[in-house]
Amino acid sequence: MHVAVCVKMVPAPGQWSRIVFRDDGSLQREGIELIINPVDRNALEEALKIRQARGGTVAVFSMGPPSCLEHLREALAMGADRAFLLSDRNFAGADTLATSRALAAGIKKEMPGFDLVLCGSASIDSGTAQVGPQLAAYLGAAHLTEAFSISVGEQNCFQVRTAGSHGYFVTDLRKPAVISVTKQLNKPRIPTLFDIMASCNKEIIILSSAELSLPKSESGLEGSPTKVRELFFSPARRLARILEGSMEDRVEELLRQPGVAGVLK
Amino acid sequence: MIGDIEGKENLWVFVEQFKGVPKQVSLELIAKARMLADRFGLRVAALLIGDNVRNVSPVLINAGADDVFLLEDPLLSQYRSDFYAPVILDLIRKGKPGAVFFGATPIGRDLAPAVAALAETGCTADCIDLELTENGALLQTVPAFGGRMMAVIVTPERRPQIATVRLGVFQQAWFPEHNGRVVDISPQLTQAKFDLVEFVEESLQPSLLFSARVVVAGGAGVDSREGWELLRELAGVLQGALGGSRPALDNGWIRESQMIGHSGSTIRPDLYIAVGISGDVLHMVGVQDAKVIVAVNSDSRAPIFSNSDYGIIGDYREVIPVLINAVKKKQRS
Ligand SMILES: Cc1cc2nc3c(=O)[nH]c(=O)nc-3n(C[C@H](O)[C@H](O)[C@H](O)COP(=O)(O)OP(=O)(O)OC[C@H]3O[C@@H](n4cnc5c(N)ncnc54)[C@H](O)[C@@H]3O)c2cc1C
Ligand SMILES: Cc1cc2nc3c(=O)[nH]c(=O)nc-3n(C[C@H](O)[C@H](O)[C@H](O)COP(=O)(O)OP(=O)(O)OC[C@H]3O[C@@H](n4cnc5c(N)ncnc54)[C@H](O)[C@@H]3O)c2cc1C
Repeated sequence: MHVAVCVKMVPAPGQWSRIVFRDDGSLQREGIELIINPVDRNALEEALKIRQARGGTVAVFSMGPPSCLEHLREALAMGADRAFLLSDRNFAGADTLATSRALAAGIKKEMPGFDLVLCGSASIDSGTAQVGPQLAAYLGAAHLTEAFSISVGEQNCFQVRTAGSHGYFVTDLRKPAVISVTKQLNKPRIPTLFDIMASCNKEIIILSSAELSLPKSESGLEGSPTKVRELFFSPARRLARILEGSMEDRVEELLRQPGVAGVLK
Repeated sequence: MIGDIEGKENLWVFVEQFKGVPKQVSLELIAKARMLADRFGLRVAALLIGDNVRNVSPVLINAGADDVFLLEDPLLSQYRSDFYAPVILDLIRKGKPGAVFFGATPIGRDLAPAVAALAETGCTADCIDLELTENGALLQTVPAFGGRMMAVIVTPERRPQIATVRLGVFQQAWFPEHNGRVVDISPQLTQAKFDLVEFVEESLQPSLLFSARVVVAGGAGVDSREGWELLRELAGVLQGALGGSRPALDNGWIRESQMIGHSGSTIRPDLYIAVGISGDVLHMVGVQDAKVIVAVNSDSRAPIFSNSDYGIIGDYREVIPVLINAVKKKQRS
């Protein structure tokens, strides 16, 4: 069983305020502390479990700036066999379609016989949850999202449970397939010092857009159908009145306000 | 048929229904599409896909649809991406809509990006506003930058423009006199990519958040069982519902259905009381249409104070008991 895991590096919570938008609409992220998107660890954990049960290989794919390299080390320490970083100026400013197109090209090139691609359900920074389904479209594979249980059955089949609005679906999925997973799926392992040492000689390969035969017109900002047209601060339209006095006075004052008194009746 | 509308870039809404009842978010999107379409003389079509769902059509027409594109097949009775996405792609190629809207439900979020990828067009997630310009460009507003700003996203060169929108962002409308037609389309099913073994229905407790006049919500600042008991008591005396921010969900104090904000519920209560919530835009977009917002926060610099109507600076453990008592006293008098 050959499993590809897509891992996105995202700004650590608390680092938001340091991100700047460039004039062309792309994000200036240099110098910002990154972490592995939390649910992507669950995707990797599941891949490692599948390898344990069925043999095969696990490869990690990430698209992002060179600063992502050290975090791919972490994925290798968790147990991935190989790691690929799609990194190139041409990739900058990608929307989900251009991201998926690039990741699909990387997987096709480096793991052509893949059985399964695992993604997180959504990133914690932009969180569109669109990459899994779009990746599947580019790979010509089936997709399922919001998976909270995966079991590998006989003959090329996975049984997957996914959450819906009114209940859950049980699906037998044939390979190749792309599955977006949720945190309920498992508990990701934490690499030991030994794991970290053992991963030191594993290699991380950097892939450029040229190596993936992706012209500039199909990568990054240029290859993205969506564009940021305008950015604005949302106008405040509230009274923003701070109540003063003793706590009892403030509460009394609050309950006297027309919009508040009205609902107490 | 579906392409007979002389080159107009009409607006389509994917309708999600369960057991013959359309989802609220689908009706809200039809109403929004109606508003946008009327300005430019466009038609609104509802895509109704399933098995034996014809009887849903009148509701969709009354909600504002001009056309109901009805695609029925026993194999389409349950949602599945491997059938639904190619069927919609086929329809898009024939009807050439300007935009297609999907509810940002588990199904909509699974389907919309897949359709967009097959059609090689843009898909904008979780829009909090949609506008249409004269030349047919869809202006899709989303919170950006960790919520400190709003961004307007456009898909200038590709059609259709695909957007997903959460429940409650737009309001449903009702047009009892509106005329519409049902267009039967026989779906061309492609090869199955998986077998749906079963769908296990779970009786979900309907969230009280949407109907409550008062909502009390807690955030990361409320970090103990006693604290949440206080909020529950306050919600109780106000006959309101209890909700929270994302950290409240992450810390296990509330359920998913109780989370308010960009990736949770959008609500419009008469009174919203935010306790120990900093006021991040990604939270506040979920309550921007609340009539009155009250903030209780111990940090006088918390951004929520400029985004609320009345603010009480203080520790909630001190504020809330006083508030509960005062409300009880008012109710007795
Ligand atoms: C505020 C904001 C809003 C945005 N809205 C939109 C929008 O509406 N439409 C749009 O097309 N683009 C949008 N973008 C651009 C989008 O964030 C990027 O395309 C991003 O590279 C992928 O999207 P995501 O993080 O939302 O992925 P998601 O779909 O949420 O990610 C799901 C999973 O896909 C995998 N994955 C995602 N990105 C990568 C990566 N770079 N490398 C490896 N694996 C990855 C991971 O497994 C991840 O858990 C937005 C960006 C911002 C900052
Ligand atoms: C893509 C994306 C989507 C998101 N969607 C949502 C969403 O839908 N909903 C949502 O809520 N968040 C969402 N978030 C998270 C959001 O960005 C904020 O991180 C979150 O809203 C902060 O929650 P909070 O205000 O409870 O916590 P904090 O920001 O940590 O604020 C806690 C507040 O409590 C106050 N406090 C502490 N102790 C006390 C006390 N004793 N008494 C009174 N006050 C006290 C503090 O002063 C502080 O202001 C999203 C984030 C991303 C990236």
